[in-house]
Formats: sequence, C-alpha cells, structure tokens
Amino acid sequence: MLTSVRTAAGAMVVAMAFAGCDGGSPSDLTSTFDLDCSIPTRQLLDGGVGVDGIPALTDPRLVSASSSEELSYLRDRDRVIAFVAGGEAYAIPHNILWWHEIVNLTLPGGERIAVTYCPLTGSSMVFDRAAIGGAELGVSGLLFQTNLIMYDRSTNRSLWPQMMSEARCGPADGSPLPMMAAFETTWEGWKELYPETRVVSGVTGIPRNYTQYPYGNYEVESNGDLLFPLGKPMDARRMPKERVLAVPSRNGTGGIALPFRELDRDRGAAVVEVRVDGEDIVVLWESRVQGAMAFRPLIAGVRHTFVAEGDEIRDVETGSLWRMDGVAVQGPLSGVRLDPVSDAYVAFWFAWAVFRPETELWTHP
Amino acid sequence: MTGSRRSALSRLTTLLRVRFYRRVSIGVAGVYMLLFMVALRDVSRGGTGIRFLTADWRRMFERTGAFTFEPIAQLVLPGVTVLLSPGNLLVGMVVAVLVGLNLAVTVLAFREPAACRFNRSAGVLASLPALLAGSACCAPVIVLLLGLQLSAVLVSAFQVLIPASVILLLITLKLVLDRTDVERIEVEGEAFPSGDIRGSGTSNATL
Repeated sequence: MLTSVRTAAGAMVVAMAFAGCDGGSPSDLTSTFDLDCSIPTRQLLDGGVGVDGIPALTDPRLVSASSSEELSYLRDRDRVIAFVAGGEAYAIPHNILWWHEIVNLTLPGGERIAVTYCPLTGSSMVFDRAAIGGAELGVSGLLFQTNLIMYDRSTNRSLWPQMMSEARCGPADGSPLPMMAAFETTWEGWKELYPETRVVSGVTGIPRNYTQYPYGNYEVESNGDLLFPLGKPMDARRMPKERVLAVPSRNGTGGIALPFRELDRDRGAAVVEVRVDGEDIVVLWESRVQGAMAFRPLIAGVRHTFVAEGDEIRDVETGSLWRMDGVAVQGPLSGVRLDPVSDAYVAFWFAWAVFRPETELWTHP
Repeated sequence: MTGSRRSALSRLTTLLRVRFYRRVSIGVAGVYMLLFMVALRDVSRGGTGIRFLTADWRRMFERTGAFTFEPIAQLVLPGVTVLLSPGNLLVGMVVAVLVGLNLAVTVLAFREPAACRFNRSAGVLASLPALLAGSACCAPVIVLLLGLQLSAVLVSAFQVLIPASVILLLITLKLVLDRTDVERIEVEGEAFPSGDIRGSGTSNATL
C-alpha cells in the first residue's frame, strides 16, 4: 500500500508539472506580459483561462436589425452597448460580449475602436484605438480588482485594466486609452431609437451559444458573491450588482454614480443635473429603454435646462422634445444633438465604488 | 490464486466480457460524458430552428482553459445548442471511460465480495477519484453554484484536476483490479472457469 501511495504522490507531481509547463497556459501569464506596473502586481489575478482563452472578436459581421435568423440569439430585453458614428448606429449585444469581452471594430470612416464589456464588473466601455496606433485589444486572462485586463497587440506586453482607461503595466504604462461616447440600453430600446442600426451577427466564426448567460446568477443585483476576491470591502450603500451610470472625475478617484433604480423611481423619464470637476452635466434617463447618458447641457454655447414630464424630456428654453441619447426629435431644436460626456459609462455599483472610492452617490430627492 | 497472476488489463477485459458490468461501464461513461459537456457548456439550453455551423478547424488546438479547447462546429436544435470541440470530446472520453470502469469495479465489489480480496466498502475507493473527476469537469459550475471565490490557489488547483483525476482513476482501477479474482465472478449463480467468461446472459450475481 505504501508503494501505491508513493506512486500516487509521484503521479500528482507529474500531473502538476504537466499542467504548469505547457506553453501559453494560464500560469504563464506573468511571463507573457511585462509586469513592471503602476498598480500592485499582487492584486493581478489569474482568471484561469489564459491569454486569449476568451477570444476577442475583430470586425465581426454586422447585420440589420431585421435579420431574424442571424439575430435569433438576441431577445428584446437583452442589453446592448450602442453608439452612433458617421451617421450610422451600431449595437454590440452583451450576449456577444459575455463570451468575447472585446469587439475590435474598424468603422467605415476608418475609426478603429474597441467595444468592451467585463461580465464580472458589468462595465461597458468603448475605446478609441487611435491612441495605440489602431492596434487590436485582446483579453489577457488577468484581472485587477475583478475587472478585465486587456492587452494591446502591438507591444503584446502592456496591460490595460479596462476601468482605469489607461495602461498600468509594461512599456505603455501611464498611456491613456480615450473613451468614445456610448450608450447601454435594452436591444428593444435601441431598435426603437435607431431602427436602421447595425448589430453583430450571431454567426461570428467562433461557435458559442449566445443565448446562454455563462455566469449563472452572478449579475442578480442583490448577489454579493464574486468569482474572484476583490481585496477590499464592498461599498454597501447600494446593491452590489446594481447598474449605475458613472461619471468619473478627471483626477483622483472620485466622480458620481447614478443608480438605475434611483433613476427609474418614477418609471418614466428622468433628468438629473450634477457637477463633476466643476462642470455642469445633465443625465437623461428613459425607463422604456432602460438607459441613461450624461451630456453637457450647452447648445451653441448656451446653457439649457432640461425637465422630465412623465415619459418625456423637454428643455425649458424652447420646449423641444429630447431622447435619452441626447437628440432633440421635436420642436425648434429638432435634430440638435447634445455633446455626450465620453468618459461616462455603466458598471456594477460594487466595481465602480472600488475603482472610485471617493465617488459621490446620487439618490432620488 | 490464479487471478493474482493475471494482469490488471486482462482482469478488466475479463470483467467487461460480462454484459452487466459492460453495461454499467458504458452507461456511467455515457452519463458522465453528457454531464462533462453540459458542465463545459458544450451542451446548453437555447436555440431556435435547426442549423449546423462550422468554424476554422485549426482552432481546435486553441485552448480556452487549462484542459479545454475551442469548438469548431455548432449544432443548433430547437431548445438546445451543441458545440463540437474535438479536444474537449477527447479529454471527456478519456475521463468518462475511466470513471465508467472505476464504477464498474465498485459495483463488482459490492455485488460480489467473494471475487474481491478486500472489504466491500473498500470498493468505494474506486469511486472517490470519480468524484474528483466530476469536480474537474464541473469546476466553473460548482464555483457558481456554491458562490465560491476563485483564489489563485483554487485556480491552480482546478488546472490540475483533470490530469490528477486521470492518474488517480488509473491508480484506483489498478489497485482494485489487482485485488479482484475475476474467475470468481458469478453469473447466473455459476462461477466461471478461469479464462472463460460467459457474458451472454444478464448478470444476476449472487452474494
């Protein structure tokens, strides 16, 4: 029996060596990237999937909203990250991003962007890749404060924690990754705003079941369980996975968070005026699209005041009717588009509060 | 004993010539394989219509985890989607076959202790690695269900579960087979002569 025990122990050692020495394995992450970082490296966690184990998409097929077969994976209530560029509307469903986390796109106007979503922090962020010479972004397999860490495919060494919007390890450490204004709404809501929108087809060339959310009940608002340790206590002022529209301050670790449940208190439209870095910002919310966005309330340099009346948003000065995407659709200002705060994005409350511990929290008065 | 001079492989072959144990092995392996694919989400709910989509076959070598690989085809059926990953199928089949064989010898120990030179409950030994193998395939599901948190240690542990399970399954299988006299397996109340197993009838072993 002693021989058997010895054999088993030896076999375990061989197995561990086998798992650890294979090139590209998750345990090799630390040697793949340059871990000369401006964040604590002990807080970099191996997610267990390896580099590109979650494969980013590059220029996937885009189809119209009426393409029923290629969009059979998408339900009206599913959430999308959406934006307008060059007069065209685009929607990248969370369903796609659950499995790929990054979609690198080259738009018809030549803009190279990356639409990113971290399912663990619920953070939806679109980046302008011009700042990194148009290089594609990939999923490193590492996490920082349970948030996606991207790597760029030009240096292949630098690491970019998504919610920090800049490189924090490697040769590019400290380089910013500018954001592009984007919205997070339901698919049904976005289709209503932009019926002609283009959307990512379910045929991506990488077989996945895009109807299936892969993390169980992880994103239930009240679920405080995390897959990876946060290293810090959670801010208990809101439910951990409640979505907030977050507007970061340019310096420091502050900003303001507007929880969706607070915005939706009246089950209609909402207008909230806040100040960040001394600048006036107006947040528009529409319950029917379950989405909010922050804008500068200036039209031709003139400060405007917005009010919510039931399901409608109007400006006091002209009485024009506005939508949550900052477009006037009726009245004297019809066709005018507000300047969005491109740094604003949607995330789970717990994650925002960890990255921005000095954040203000807006609640319904 | 005659049986002690036979190799483990020979004992296994002899055991599998009994239809009952063959069925136990295949049945358990089949169920395990299905659970393995569900746990890896290669079989999952959701799907409309009937479609078969293929991807670049070279992606089959790309890994999505320590011992998991990219699928290269997708079968969509009403209500269910099946992803076909040759790598996952291969890993799953190896573990499933070993789990099936271990469970077969466990059943043998319980049903026919006369054929085993160890305590009946020791047969459970063979099923322990099967449980470990279960954890190996279902690690992400277990983590989500139990609300566990994946520490660096746990991530590393999950990465060696598959090879560790395979090795332990092989060891327990050999240990149990080495202590089994397959000649004493009784089928339909009759002991087999050495080297001659009648596997045609339904096993109705007596204890």
